[in-house]
Amino acid sequence: MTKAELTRYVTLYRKTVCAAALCYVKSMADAEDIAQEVFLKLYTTDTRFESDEHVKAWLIRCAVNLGKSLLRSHWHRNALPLDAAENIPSPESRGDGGEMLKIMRKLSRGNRIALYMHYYEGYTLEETAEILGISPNTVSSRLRRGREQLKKLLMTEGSTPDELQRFF
Amino acid sequence: MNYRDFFEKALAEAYREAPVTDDRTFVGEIDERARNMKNSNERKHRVFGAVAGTAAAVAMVGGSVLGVNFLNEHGGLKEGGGAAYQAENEPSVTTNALMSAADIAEANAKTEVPATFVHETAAETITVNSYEFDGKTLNINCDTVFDNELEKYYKPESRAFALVDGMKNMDAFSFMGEPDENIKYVFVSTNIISDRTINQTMTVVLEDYADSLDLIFPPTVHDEFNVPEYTFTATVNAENVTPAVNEETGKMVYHSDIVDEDFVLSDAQTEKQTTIAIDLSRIEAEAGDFDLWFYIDGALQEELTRTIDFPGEERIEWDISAETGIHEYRIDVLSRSTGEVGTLFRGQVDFTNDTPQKLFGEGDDMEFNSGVFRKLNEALHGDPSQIAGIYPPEEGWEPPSEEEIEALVAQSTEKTLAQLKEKSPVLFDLFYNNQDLYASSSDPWLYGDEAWAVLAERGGLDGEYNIKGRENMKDKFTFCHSEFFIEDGGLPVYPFTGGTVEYADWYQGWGRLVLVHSDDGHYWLYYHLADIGVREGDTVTTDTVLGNSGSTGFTEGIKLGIMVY
Repeated sequence: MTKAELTRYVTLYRKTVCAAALCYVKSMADAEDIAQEVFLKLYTTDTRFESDEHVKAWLIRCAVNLGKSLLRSHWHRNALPLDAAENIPSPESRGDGGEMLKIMRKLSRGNRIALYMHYYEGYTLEETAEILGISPNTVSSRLRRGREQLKKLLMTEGSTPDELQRFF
Repeated sequence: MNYRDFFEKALAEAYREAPVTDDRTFVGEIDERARNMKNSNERKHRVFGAVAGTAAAVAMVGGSVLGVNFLNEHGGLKEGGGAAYQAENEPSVTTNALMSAADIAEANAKTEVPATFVHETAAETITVNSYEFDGKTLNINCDTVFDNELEKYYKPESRAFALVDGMKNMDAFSFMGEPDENIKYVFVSTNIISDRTINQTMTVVLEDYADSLDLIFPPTVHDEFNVPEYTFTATVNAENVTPAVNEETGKMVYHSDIVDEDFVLSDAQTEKQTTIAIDLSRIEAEAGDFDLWFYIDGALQEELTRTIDFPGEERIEWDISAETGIHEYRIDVLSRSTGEVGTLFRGQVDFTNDTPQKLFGEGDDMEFNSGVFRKLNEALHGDPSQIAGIYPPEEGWEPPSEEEIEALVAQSTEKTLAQLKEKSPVLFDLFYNNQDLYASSSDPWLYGDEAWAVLAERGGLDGEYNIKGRENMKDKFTFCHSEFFIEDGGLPVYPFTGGTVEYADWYQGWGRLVLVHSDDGHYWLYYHLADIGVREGDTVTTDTVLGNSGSTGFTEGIKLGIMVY
């Protein structure tokens, strides 16, 4: 892959990859690290891609896998205290981000990525299942649970019934 | 609002919280990393080149999804040492990336995992590409740690970790390979216990993550890493606080203790930042008010008055910010109660790289002039009228050369080990004679309640842990840095089991440590304690308080470390 091609894919899919990674890690900074790793793989892989969609699915899958392995990895935990020290928050960014981000962080990870893939990226159940490497049934139950969880979270965060009505 | 909007907003908030680089920079960074990778691949070519071609050809014929399958079916190839290299280049990523759960299960089923696995890699199969040392963590980026023999047993749910000098609690790792595929690069980062390591023996262990707790592979794959750039040392042995006379100045000097140095990078390009934390807990001195002066390059940066109760959990932290370059720093201390004054600590930090690096160190050599401590008070009769001002920096002082540092570290390591061997043969045996470590609170797979149960199980207690010990800590733990991270210090620590106290004292890096030899023959270690309430030879029960939790030794907070041998 040439640098120009890479640049094109970065422009197209960097946000998608970051978002998918953000389903597994807490901060955008971590998600960015994963994104870099993912695009590095893309840049160095010998895979022949059939289409942009193929690249996209591949990238998401990579991001999800790396996100998972980052969660598992000792290093991540190890790095947490240092991260905390590094990102000395400016007055604006102090706190846990905005309302929606807070809620997103409270969603359990499996549900989060399923909701994201299905509702945001617009993949079908089957496509989501294939990319995440889980069965369509699992995807569907995660979506269901995710929706319920999200509803509860929004209620506790003080959304009015009217807003919820519109939401669901 | 619908689901899409929800994510849209959440993501926008995430971006607001942590602004990211622009695409151009992002691509630039990737490009550079790819080039570095290419360079390291070329190095590997030299090692594996001869066989790689053959292996590639067979791989195409085999056409299997996973390197593991391939290797099982064509086990003969392992002789060549080329398969590991080949697997890396195998371009079946598409299939792998979208491999279904069934495929993974099938691959797992085909992979026979032996009960034990002993294999030493040939030395040349480990190539160290780069080191990155940020003052706290040594990141060693090494290629193809796993040869084909080990890879054969790799399963999609496996992961690896590293031991350094046999110390599991310093491990860290992450895979950088294709998703769920063969291991390609292993980035191993280890926390340094600096007084022990310049030449590290690194062991890479493959562990079956899916089946959680059992180690498939005993720690056997190893190689020695030379870390020539590594000049950082953080711990100075506090047990050797001995008075001496500085020949040039004729003043009394003391070797004091520095434990833990945190280096933190600031965002600024030119100005960099680091924090120095000095643990005073082992120093015996008069309690009282102390004035502290912090200097960079001889210029006073900060002044601080603190009441310090010795002995106790006392820690001074100082953030250094400085322009790129090499800087000398110094901390002077005045004891108001006794009038003693002196340079507590000084050293040099290199801010030229991205990572501030301490340029010299290692305890006994460092000039820790300290006039504030009790022994010195005794020597100087503690006469307040002797306050003479700040002890001036010595002229013509030069940091030691790298060779000198290396020699000093080696010497210090030897000394430390000899001391431990003499002081506690049992502890020495546990730490350095490859005794079986059954479980540790540092094991990365242990969490919360589970950790307690597993510790108890491995310690031969049938999973029954001392509920008193656990209850006491209940809701106080979060899992962090792979140890029990506690919000508050000072909580009484109860042992898992009764027994005899074999060791109850400070040990470098571990802080205050209590070793209990249980009646059934296991050795239980409790460390990072703030204080110790038992003595060597004491008989303890599950109701005995060993001490209180604290943050002594290498920790990043208040923690309780537990290990069972």
